[in-house]
Amino acid sequence: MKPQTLQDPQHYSVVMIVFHWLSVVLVVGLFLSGFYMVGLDYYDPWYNRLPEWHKSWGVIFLILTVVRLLWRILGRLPEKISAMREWESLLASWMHRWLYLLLMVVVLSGYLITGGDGSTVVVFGLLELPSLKGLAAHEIDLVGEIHEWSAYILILFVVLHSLAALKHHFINRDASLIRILKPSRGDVEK
Amino acid sequence: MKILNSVSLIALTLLSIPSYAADYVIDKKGMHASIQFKVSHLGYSWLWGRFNDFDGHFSYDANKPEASSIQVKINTASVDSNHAERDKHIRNDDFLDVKKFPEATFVSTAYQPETKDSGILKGDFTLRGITRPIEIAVTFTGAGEDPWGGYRAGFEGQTVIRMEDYKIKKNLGPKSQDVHLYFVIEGIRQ
Repeated sequence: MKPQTLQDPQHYSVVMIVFHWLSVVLVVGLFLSGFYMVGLDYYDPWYNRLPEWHKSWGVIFLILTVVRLLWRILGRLPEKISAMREWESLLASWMHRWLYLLLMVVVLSGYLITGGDGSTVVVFGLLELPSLKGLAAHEIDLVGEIHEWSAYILILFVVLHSLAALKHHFINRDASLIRILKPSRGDVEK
Repeated sequence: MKILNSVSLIALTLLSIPSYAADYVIDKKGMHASIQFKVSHLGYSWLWGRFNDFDGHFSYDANKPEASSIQVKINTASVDSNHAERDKHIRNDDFLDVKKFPEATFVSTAYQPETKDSGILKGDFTLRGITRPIEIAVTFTGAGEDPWGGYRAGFEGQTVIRMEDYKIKKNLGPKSQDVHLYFVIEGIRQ
């Protein structure tokens, strides 16, 4: 096994890998909690707690995603996988752009639902964030619908993105999946 | 002279005849009217809210109160409980479903005076597209000239409706099945 080099041109950096898999956990957790919490019975012990957690993790996810985007823009991306056709690489990078856009739309619309009346968004009782003031009722409803539908579209895209990664790993047998799992080629490349 | 006298006599007689039911328009512009509601919270306290946007007109004659009638339209999206997230929830299909049912209406069908200043107003109340007969306990609160050249009359009313009668899905618990409605109506005579 070669010593790990952080800037192996074939792989994502450790930081990007950590960002990616943290995002996976948070996106899935936020989607499931959001889907579940809107159907909770009024007398359920989680009726107030789950939305509070959802919002708190949502804010943490927003911060994480902004830092991740900056890191991605300022840092270096791995080289294109040579085995891929041009249109495949193009499709993959457009998918990545759409995923980032949807992530931002989902979290920002969620943020506006809570604070549309100027109330603060509280993160685990520790951090209080100000929000916009003066959204009208129909605007808050619109923001709510954007939050819901962009979340569904995001999950659809996440599924497509995952299927593509699995297809490239098991069928094409290229490094698409490996390079977001291991920061260095190590001994996986034959 | 004689003719002139009889003309004045007729005019005087006409003036002294009690006027027929006068038509009033709810003072929406000056907002001297309100539609408020309260719902028990867990049986421990009362949650108050109101509708900010409504309109209507009524007909009232102090000498013939049984001929009184009123029509009111409420913009359901204008519900305001002083909490943006709750208002958003009340607007969605768990409660008022304002997208599908933007309007609630009350159209009176009969008025039964009980005392000089109070009585029972019967009518059809439509909420979420469901029309049911309701009875509103009404009190006449005053009438007379205003300082700006107009003539006004005011009433208060209250009634109780059951949420399930109007197919409101969300169950807020055994102590919170009813909505108590309170009306303050001031009209300007047309």
